[in-house]
Amino acid sequence: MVIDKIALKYLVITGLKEIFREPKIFFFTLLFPFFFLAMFGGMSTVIDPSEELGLSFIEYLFPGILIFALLSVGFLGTSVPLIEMRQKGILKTLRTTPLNEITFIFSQIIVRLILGFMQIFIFTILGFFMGLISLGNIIPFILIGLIGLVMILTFGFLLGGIFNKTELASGVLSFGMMPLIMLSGAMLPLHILPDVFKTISYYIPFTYLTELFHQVLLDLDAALPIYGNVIVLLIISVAIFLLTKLTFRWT
Amino acid sequence: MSIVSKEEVLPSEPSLIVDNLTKNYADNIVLDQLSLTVNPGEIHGILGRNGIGKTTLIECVVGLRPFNQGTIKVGGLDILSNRDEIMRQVGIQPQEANLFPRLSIEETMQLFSSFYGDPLAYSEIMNVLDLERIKNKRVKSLSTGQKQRLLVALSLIGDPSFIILDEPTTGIDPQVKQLIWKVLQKEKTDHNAILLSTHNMEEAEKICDRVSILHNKKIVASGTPKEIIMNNRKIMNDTLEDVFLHLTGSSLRGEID
Repeated sequence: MVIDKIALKYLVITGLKEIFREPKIFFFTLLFPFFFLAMFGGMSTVIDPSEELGLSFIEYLFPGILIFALLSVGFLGTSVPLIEMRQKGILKTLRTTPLNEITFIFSQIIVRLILGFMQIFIFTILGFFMGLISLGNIIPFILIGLIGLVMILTFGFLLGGIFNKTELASGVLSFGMMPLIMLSGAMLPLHILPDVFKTISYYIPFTYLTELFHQVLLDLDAALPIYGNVIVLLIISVAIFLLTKLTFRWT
Repeated sequence: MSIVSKEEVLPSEPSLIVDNLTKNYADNIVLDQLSLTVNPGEIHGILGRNGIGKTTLIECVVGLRPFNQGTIKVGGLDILSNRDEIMRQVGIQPQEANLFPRLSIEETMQLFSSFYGDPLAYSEIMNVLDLERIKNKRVKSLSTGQKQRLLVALSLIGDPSFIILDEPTTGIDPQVKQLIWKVLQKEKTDHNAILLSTHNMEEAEKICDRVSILHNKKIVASGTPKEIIMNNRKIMNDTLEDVFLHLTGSSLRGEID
């Protein structure tokens, strides 16, 4: 099964139009995370910096807010629309054409990569002007963001194949996003949590992403070296993609 | 296909052969050892009550649903082992199909034409089905008739030699119905085969060359509309609808699926 380039191009255009023409999806997948950034940025001005880490509130949270933004694209912007397309029979209609599933899945990944990249790009600019990303860290920040985005998207597609109803998926994913972020150390340093949470955190893929950001941006210690975290994230992405291919359903 | 004439070698083998098809949903048998043939240049109607299994039959034919027993060959190819190839030759209008709601008609046509190696010019199909003047209208704001016309247009875009339409004229006004019938007749004269699921007796009588009546999991009558009337009528003036009621019963019984 090979990717049909012409179909891929038109499916990507379609995916972008469907998102940009729907204010609700556009707001929750693209704009919502920036409200968090503004909120935490504002809070940072009144909360004292951590003496132990030597970091301000927003310095520590900044990568976590980006992960939250990427999770919005990956979960709410990927799983939910995919389930909706299946629920409404759009996937079934596509199945009555010669379109193959690899072309369709890739088109959806590319659309979300574009959206996610837009977010990474805006976060990079904001982070640079807020003094949270140094000039030398811009490229590593973007690369880590992209590695994280790919992993999150594969999760989004996997979940889109598992859930059957959009209402259930929106509820579970919205409810699940915050604990996942908390337990990955993106909002609170893991060492202040009880041991049981620390153990759990190493079973959460986003922990490796958080640690990678912290290693590069904040020079914090982590269980694995930088390349180790990158390898873990890539292995998880490939494994989840293969699982997605197996579990993908048109109807 | 019809809209843009082109030289073709007329196919000799049937466009569709369904042989001994059985389909169960758990313990419930929906289609039982059903056989059916559709030839090139023929409009073959599948008549049956709502929920009798017409859509299930179509979905088995195009490989959307697995079946329990039998064989299905489209253009001589087995659906189980050649689905990808078959999908390039078949145009399908699924029942109650949904499309990307925020795309316009023209964008939808453009998208679907990108799925085929050698598609027809979609502007011509839009002209034929009177979609050109509303080409910028978004799918979510289309009326039932406009949506049906778009779905029929999409089924033609890949220049198929076999077209499958699942109740294309249900719930639409007579003008649109006539337009769709005209398009189907044109397809037929171009030697394309059409399998048409319907419960509209007028449609079956007017445009179908042969009709199969599906009832109680089986095809209970098959032939030209005239043959079916002649073979099953109770009184001289019986119409196809009367005969259909004789064969399938007039009570409002529970539907199968």
